[in-house]
Amino acid sequence: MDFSYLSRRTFLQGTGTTAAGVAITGTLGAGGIAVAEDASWAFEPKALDETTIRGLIAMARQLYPHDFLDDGPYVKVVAGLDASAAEDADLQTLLTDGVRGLGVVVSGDASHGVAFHEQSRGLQLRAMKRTEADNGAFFEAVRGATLGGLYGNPEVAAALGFEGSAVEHGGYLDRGFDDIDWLPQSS
Amino acid sequence: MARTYDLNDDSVVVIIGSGAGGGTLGHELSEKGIDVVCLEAGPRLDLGDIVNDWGEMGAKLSWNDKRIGSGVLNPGYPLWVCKTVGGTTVHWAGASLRFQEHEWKVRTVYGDVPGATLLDWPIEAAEMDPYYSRAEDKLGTTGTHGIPRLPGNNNYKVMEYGAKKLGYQTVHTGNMSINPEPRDGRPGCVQLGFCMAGCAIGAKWSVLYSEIPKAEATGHFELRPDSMVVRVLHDDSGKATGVEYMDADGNLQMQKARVVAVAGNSVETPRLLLNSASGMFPDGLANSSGQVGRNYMRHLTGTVYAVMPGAVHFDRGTQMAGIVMDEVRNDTSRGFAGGYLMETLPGFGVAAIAGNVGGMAVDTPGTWGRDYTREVIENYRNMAGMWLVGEDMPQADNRVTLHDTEKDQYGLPVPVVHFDEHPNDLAMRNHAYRMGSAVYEAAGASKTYELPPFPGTHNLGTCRMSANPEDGVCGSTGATHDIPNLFISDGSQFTTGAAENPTLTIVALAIRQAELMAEAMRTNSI
Repeated sequence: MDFSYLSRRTFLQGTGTTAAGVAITGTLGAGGIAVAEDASWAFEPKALDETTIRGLIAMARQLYPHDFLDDGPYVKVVAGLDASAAEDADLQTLLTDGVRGLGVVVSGDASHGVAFHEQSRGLQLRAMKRTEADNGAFFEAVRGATLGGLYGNPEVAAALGFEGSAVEHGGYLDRGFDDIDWLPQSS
Repeated sequence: MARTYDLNDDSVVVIIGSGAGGGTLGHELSEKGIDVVCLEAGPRLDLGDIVNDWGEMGAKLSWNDKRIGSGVLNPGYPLWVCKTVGGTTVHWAGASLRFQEHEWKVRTVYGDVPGATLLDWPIEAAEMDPYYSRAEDKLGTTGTHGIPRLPGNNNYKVMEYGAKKLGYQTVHTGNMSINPEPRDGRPGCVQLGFCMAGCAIGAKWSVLYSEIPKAEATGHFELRPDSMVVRVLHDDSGKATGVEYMDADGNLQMQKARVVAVAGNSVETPRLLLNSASGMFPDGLANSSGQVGRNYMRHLTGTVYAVMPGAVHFDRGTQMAGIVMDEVRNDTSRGFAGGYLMETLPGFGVAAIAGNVGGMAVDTPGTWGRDYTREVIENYRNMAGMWLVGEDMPQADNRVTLHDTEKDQYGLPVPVVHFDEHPNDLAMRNHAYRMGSAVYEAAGASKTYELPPFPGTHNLGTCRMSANPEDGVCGSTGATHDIPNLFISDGSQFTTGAAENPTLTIVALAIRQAELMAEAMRTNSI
């Protein structure tokens, strides 16, 4: 099993080799900024193969990259896509074929197969821009799921400045609803 | 206590819809001792169902039955209204502004605007003053009846600073139906944010917990939630006699009525009249003018988000936290008729901002990728935002019609909503974008984004009031020109839209309609 796509901050552990039995787990390594108390994550793929999952994780990060984020939140997005694909054969096909399409590096008149998650950042962006134009259904399915899943993740949203539910904290009346301090006083 | 009425009780007023129009009308009638059956398509929630979560509340509150948009509307989601007891008063922001005097007679004031179907309202501005006052008292509107204005949040302070620097004069925290202090059984606002997900503590006025319980306490009001009216019935004399509706179990029921009042918001109201076509009324009820469904208005809207030099945290506190009113006047030297308001509005969470700014604004580094996340999403905490809302021009071909073949889950033809903009709308939005961006630039913005309209939340005019029966669907009382005991009781009756957020006017018209309807019933004219 090849883990070369991993960022150095992230450690992934793969077990199992049966078609449906790829377990992907991870914990935060040194140097990462934890956005959750417990930054470990894991999921058992239900529908998608490992190449597709790794490709989608790489694509999710390239879509909405944030240097302060570990791979964990992106993996959660893909776990959601995998769960949806388990209920929706068309989606499973769309995602599998889509990642396969991303794994084509075009050079001149020739095409070469390089798994998307193993491509360099620049080659990945080339493949994504090509796919955005040629396979919009796939691209938008992943982009939409990443938008909703990544930024709907409370830890990610909090790291970006969205503070989430306020009612259990008594609102912001005493917690800074008017605490702006950089604005000159208006006359 | 809440009472119940027999399906064959033909003495009741049946009200279709429990929002700002229908719910208010029902409460007002019940206080006069008139028996009311209110049929609401959506479920009845309580405060415990309201949470601070955009996704969850969007799913709980929104009218998600299939609708088709055409023209400039989102084809799959042309407008954003509610299917729940209380209707859009559950998700409204709370802005409660009176029309300006001239907005009751814009055909006279603006003259003949080519392409626009302007009419004067068949109501004088002065006649509305006492009803507005009663509506403000009912809603607990700040800045009226001795109720102080709310304190301004960070997003307001940014807008206020920029606006005053530009020289704007009328800048304040608005006339909001959100309690600054406890009043009328509702608590004071604690600046939760999430107003438009439903106020989780009930500080904001909503028919759901303000009008319905009071109506039930009169002993003259029955609410039937999960009851989708599919047809209004009439007799051979052309009078309305009742309604057919699908109950919570999916069974078709028939409720008799002395009077029927339709208040389903500006798509469902005309849709119901069109779906009620009969041998006697082949084009739909109350449609001898051909005006049912026409003159759909949704207000001129747009949004400006700005990246400011420091943190704003615009989700903190009241969403519509303040207003700039200087541009609401009618001043044709700006190149358009009518006027508009600037009202603060944050962005409904990171996912919405991340999708909407790239997806709707032009001046961004695309919709994804590193430049996009750095410029837009990673500046989330520094963003300020305002919504622009102004008067749009009624046009005959902006209308609600029935789809030829597509049906919804009740077996009813799906509504098709068509909207194209009038040149006046474009000229006004252009001005509003320029001034809205200038406000933020005056406060130090490094970047501003102009977003086109979201799916319409102010939906008006599809069964409009007119003095002349050929020009509209209902007269000055809201009773339809064709069927005297069939009333239009929501924003559909708006002759023109004015610039202001419409709920206060819908409530004031409902208070007035209850008086006029009660009088007509007392004198047996209906």
